[in-house]
Amino acid sequence: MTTRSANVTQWPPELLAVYRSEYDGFVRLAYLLLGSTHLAEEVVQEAFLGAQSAWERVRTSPGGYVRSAVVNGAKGALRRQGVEERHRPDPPPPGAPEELVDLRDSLLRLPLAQRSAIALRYWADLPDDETAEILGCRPATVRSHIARGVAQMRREMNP
Amino acid sequence: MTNDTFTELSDDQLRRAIREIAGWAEPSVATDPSERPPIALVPLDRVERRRWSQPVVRVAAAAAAVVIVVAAAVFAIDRSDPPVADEPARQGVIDRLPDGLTNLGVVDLEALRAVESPTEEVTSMLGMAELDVAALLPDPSDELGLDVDSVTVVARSSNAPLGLAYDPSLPVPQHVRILATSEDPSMVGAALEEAGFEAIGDGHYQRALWAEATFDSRGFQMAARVEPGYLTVAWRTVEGPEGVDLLPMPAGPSAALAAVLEAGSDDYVLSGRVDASVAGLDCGAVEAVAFGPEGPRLIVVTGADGTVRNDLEPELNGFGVTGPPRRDGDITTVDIELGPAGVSVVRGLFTPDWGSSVDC
Repeated sequence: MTTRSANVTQWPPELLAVYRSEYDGFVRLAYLLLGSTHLAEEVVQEAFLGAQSAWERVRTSPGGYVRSAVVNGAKGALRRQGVEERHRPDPPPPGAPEELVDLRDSLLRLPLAQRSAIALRYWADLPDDETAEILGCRPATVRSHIARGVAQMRREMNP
Repeated sequence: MTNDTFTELSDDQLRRAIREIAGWAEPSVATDPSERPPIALVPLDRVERRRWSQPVVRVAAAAAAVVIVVAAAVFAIDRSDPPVADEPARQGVIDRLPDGLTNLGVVDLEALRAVESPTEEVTSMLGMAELDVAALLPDPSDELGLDVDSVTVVARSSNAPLGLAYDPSLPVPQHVRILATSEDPSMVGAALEEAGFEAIGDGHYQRALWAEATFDSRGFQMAARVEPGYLTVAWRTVEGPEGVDLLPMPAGPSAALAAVLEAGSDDYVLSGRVDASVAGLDCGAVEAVAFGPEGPRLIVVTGADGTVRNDLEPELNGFGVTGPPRRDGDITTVDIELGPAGVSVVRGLFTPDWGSSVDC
C-alpha cells in the first residue's frame, strides 16, 4: 500500500483537517435529515468535493461551508430521488429503544426545514443565527421551525 | 424514555435523544488516521468533465410500438477531443449530462491508463457513475410499462469516500450496488437476493464485482454485470422492447468483447447468444454485437463451420481487430477495439434490422 503524498498536497490541509475531524459528525447530521447512512455519506462526500472545488471562496470557514452543503445536499437528494416517499429509513440498530425509533421516524416525517433546524440545533449545536444562514431564513423562522417540529413530534408520539 | 415522559422532554433530553439517533449512522469510512488507509486525494482539475454533445435515444423498432428506451442512450462521445496520453489532465472523464440529468455517468478507464494514479481516479469517478432510470424517464411505469419507480445502479468503492480517499491496494472498486424501488419493493428485493445480491439497507443491494446477475420481477428483467473495466446494465419488459445500457470502460482491446451485449435468441438478457436471425443474419450465431458512436458494428460471428466469415473481415478490420479469431467450442471470438482512442459508448437495442448493415 502506498501513499501518494503528491496528491494529498493538492488538497487544502484545512479541508483535510475538517474531513478528518468532522466527517462522522456531518454524516450523522445528514442521517438525521435522510434516515439513511448510505445517502448521508453520499451527500457528505459530495459536500467535501464541492468545498475543494470552491476552496478560494470557502477557505475562511470550510467546516461551515461543508455543513451548509450537507444540508442543501440532503435537500437535493430528497428532491432528486423522492426519498421521502420511496425510501424507508435504515433499520434501527438491534436493541434500539422503541421510543427512539418512533422519534427518529417522526423526525423524518417532518418538513425538511423543520427537520434541518432541529438537527442543526440538537445535533450540531448551532446557534439560531447560523442555522438561519444555512437555511436561508431569519432566526425567528428557525425558532418557529423548531417549535413546530418538536410540537409535531410530540403529537405523533402521543396521539 | 417513554412516550409519557416524552411530552415533557426538556431541551437537554431531546438533545440526548437526537444524538443517540444520530449515532445510529455508522460511517463506512474510518476517519481516525490510525484506522484508515493512507488518504490520497483526487485533484478535481484532473477530472475532465465533459458534456456529451449528442443525446442518443434509440427507438425500439420492433413491430409496432415505438418506445423510447432508455438509458445510456443519452450518451454520445465528443470524438473530436479524445483523451491524449500525455495530457494527464484530460485523462479522466466524468460525464454529467445537462438538463439536470446529473446522475448519469460514464467512466472511461481506457483514458486513465496513462494517469499517474488511475485507481483513485476510477474510484472517484465510479463513485459518481450512477444511472438513474427515473431521472431519464419521468415515469418509468408509463414509459417502460414497469411497476418500478426507479432503478439506480451505482458502482463505487466500498471503502472510499468519493474522490477523497482510496485504498491503493485495490485495483478497482469492488462492488456494484443496485437500488431498485417499486410499489412492492419486497419483490424486487427478493429477486435481487436470489441473484446473489446482499441487502445493505435503504433499498440497496450489493454484490462483488466480476459478477453477473439477472432478476425478474413483475415482468421486469434487469441484468447488471460488472467486470474489470465495465459496468453493464440491461433491462427489458416482457412485452416491451429491450433496453441495453452499457457503460463501457474498456480496459484493453481484449476486454472489449466483454463489454458487448450477449443476447439470447428468444430472450435477450445478458446471457446466451442471439440467434443470427434476430440480427437479420443467416450465417450462424452472433456472439456479440457492439455499437460504437456511429452505429452498430458486428463484432463476432460464428459461422456454421465455426470460423469468422471472410467477407466480414473488412468490417471487422474497420472496427479495429486486434487479434486472430479464437475458437472455443462453437464460439469464435475476435477481439476488437471499440472506437477511437479506446473511448466508446456502447449502447443500443436489439432489433431485427440491426444486422442489415452487415453483409453476411
